[in-house]
Amino acid sequence: MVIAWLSLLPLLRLLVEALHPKTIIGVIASPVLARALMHSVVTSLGGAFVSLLIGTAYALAVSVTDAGARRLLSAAALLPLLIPAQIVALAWMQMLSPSGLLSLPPGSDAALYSAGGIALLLGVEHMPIVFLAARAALAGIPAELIEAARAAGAHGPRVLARIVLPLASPGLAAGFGLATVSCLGSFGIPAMIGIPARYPTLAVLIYQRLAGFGTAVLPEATVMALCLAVVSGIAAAANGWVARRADVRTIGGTAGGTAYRFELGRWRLVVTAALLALAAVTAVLPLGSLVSTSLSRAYGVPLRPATATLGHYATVLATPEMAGAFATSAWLALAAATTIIALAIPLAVLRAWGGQVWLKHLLGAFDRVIDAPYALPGIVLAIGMILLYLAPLPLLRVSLYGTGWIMLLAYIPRFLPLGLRPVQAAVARIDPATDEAARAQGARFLHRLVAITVPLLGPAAAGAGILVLLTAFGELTVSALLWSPGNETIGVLIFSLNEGGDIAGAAAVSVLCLAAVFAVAGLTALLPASARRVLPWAA
Amino acid sequence: MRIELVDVVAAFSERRALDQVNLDIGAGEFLVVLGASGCGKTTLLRVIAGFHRPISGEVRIGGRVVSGNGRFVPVEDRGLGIVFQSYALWPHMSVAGNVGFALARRGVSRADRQRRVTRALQQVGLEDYAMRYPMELSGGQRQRVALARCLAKAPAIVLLDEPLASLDPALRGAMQDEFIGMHQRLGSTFVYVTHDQSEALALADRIALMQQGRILQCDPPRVIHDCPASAAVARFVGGGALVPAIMLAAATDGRTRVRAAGAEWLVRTGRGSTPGPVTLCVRPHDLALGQAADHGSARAVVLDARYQGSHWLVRVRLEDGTELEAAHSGEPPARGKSVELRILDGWVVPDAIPVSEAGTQFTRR
Repeated sequence: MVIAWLSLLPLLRLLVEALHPKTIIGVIASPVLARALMHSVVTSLGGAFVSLLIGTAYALAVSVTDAGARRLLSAAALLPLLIPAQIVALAWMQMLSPSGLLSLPPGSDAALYSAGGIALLLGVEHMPIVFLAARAALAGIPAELIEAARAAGAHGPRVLARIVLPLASPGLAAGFGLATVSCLGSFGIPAMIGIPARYPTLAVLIYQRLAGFGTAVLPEATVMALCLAVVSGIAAAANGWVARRADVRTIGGTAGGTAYRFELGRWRLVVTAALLALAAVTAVLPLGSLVSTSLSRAYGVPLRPATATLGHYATVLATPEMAGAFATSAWLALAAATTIIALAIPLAVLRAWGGQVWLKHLLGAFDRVIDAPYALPGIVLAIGMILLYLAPLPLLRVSLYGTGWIMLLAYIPRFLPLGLRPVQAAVARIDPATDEAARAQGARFLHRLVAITVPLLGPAAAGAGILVLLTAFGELTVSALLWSPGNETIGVLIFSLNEGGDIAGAAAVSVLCLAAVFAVAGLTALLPASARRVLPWAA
Repeated sequence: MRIELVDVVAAFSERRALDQVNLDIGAGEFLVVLGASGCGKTTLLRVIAGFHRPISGEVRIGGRVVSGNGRFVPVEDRGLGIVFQSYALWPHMSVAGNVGFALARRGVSRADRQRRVTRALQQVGLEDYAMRYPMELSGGQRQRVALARCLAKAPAIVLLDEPLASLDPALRGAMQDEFIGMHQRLGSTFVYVTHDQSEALALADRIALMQQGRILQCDPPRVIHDCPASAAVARFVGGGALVPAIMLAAATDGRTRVRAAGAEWLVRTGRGSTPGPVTLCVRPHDLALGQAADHGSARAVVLDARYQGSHWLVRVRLEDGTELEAAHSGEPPARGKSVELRILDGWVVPDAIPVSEAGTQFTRR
């Protein structure tokens, strides 16, 4: 019940607040809202399209060809999972700036500040969603179906066009839909690029209103948030509808057996080089430029041995509020991960093996509710949290608004699906007989949970916890609205340093943030395989 | 079209799947490759198809080298038809789309394509199903669509990879008829891989029996069954027992006398056997229960009897302890009863005789 409260109540509260006819009419009639909504839809569809193109290209190369460096290409396609959106935006800005690795002339980044620029970066950031969906879809195509086409005399391109892509299309469509929904809710990229470009998306508009006028415009912001929620909901529903209709099941064959690999022959080198070049442009150059900016003495000065300095890092580490952001993000991420895993294990176990029928039904219904905060744009969740906790808590007479706790309370529903789904999958893999055997020995639920289930689930749960930890560490969307002085997160710090013009400082914080994320992600290589299976980049 | 394999070696990582395989498949022949799983029979098919590139050796199709000497013709240019165990129908295409796929790019006109698709579907009795999708068909219908796909293309070579393995037994007999009909209609060379000996015996012009990447014997079914070239072949195909024996005299007219299990037998033998220790292959139908004057016989005790439908298999123990199985058509004698065992026939397994000499020449049925 407590968790349902956490997940559902912010949204219910939001509804009550906004359902005042005057507010609704006033906001909906405004051309500002319509324009921002249009911007959201255009950039999201554009971003999802970019994701579809490059994600599918990587997935095809990695899954159904003998292209070289396939592990490296896989890693390049999944890398954006580990990089917070605002850092992606900052890194691309640096790549196109004079202090970037390419040492471009000033003004080269003008094209980035446009709808196309936002869509491009959204596309890069959400590419892993399409890549993972496409890779799974391609791996599910039985090799015989491709062999049969080749035996019928079809050469590579025709097999690709008539057999491989049609069979993978449900997966590709699902990836495209998920990427669209995710783009609609994204904040970091449209904020970093769209605010200077005067091209606000709806999420950015809501942020600007609340940041500019405070809680006075809360009802107005609430209606806007609901509009965004409705659009996301429609996109998510459309995605589900397509997924249910696309019933291209495969017949016979050994799905999941050894996948078919096209021999590229003389094209092998070309394909490999093209995709590595793409990886260089989408990952290596931006991140390298981020590092070079963080090391250059003054913004806009090309990096030379004479102009290099570690001063920005020294400043970041020496300034208490900057160093404090690392502490805030760290404790928030750790607390969120721990709480979510502590909740996920009993939830998953009860849902799978719970004895009582009513309990199963309740948890089944709850299962659908849980996804709501994750599918909904983070900014909508944040507004719900403000509405819920702005007033002092009953009895305690303290308000959580303005403390770090409100962010933790928002992170838990936001990232619960991320932690719960892998644990549920792990429960499904455990033989129920292990639990039944313990029952037969007379062990009660709690005893079984501690003695049998938790040890068996431990690795997967740890993997899921790390996934939540790394995602929450660089979070910006929710904390952009919920932070308070003394409780800045790293995401907020990067965002405000950039907004304040301290680009080098923002770059230095970003590099430190990425260093921490990559270090933790790198350490997961030491985990047992059963824990690593949960992590998309290790699978 | 003729298919020739010369000293073909194929491997998966370390393991040798084909070890110096030589095979000459005549144009229009129905060759069944028979063997247990993992014997290399599927690899052999994939080498002929062009899915697997051999390490060494040569593959020729219709006299043209398709693999070997640095040449490798990919599968799409070999002009074959393949029937897969899993049918491998494309689920996103209608039955007609599946059947017509191979015709789409061969310069076949639309009307001609339509005609050929319809005719192929008629031949397998599915003309009313052209617009259906594979998901809507039963297993047997799906396999027939796969056959129609082959028929429409009318390839000179058809490769079949355990095409009956995922059908239930009741359908297998009917599908065997389809294969024979298709073979007669197309006049193509058929290479059919299976682990089921009854399928092999029923369908094949010749059976190539494989074990551990080698072809043990390649002969017509009758020769494989009656004159196995080695103990391994005798064990794999047909029932019965291998009995150690002493060959008493040199062969005359392909027959010789042997002493085995305490009795003297008149059996068949191939060329080159010399008097001395040999191995005798005794099939259940080589033995009979009851008295007779003109054949060798021995005393035996009945152990048990298993009903086979058309006859009984009676297990008996001879006086020296050898256990044999005899085919018996009437009611079997009671367990423990002492009977006279007649020895009608047998075959001296020519372990040392080269495979090619063991069998007769390939003849068309």
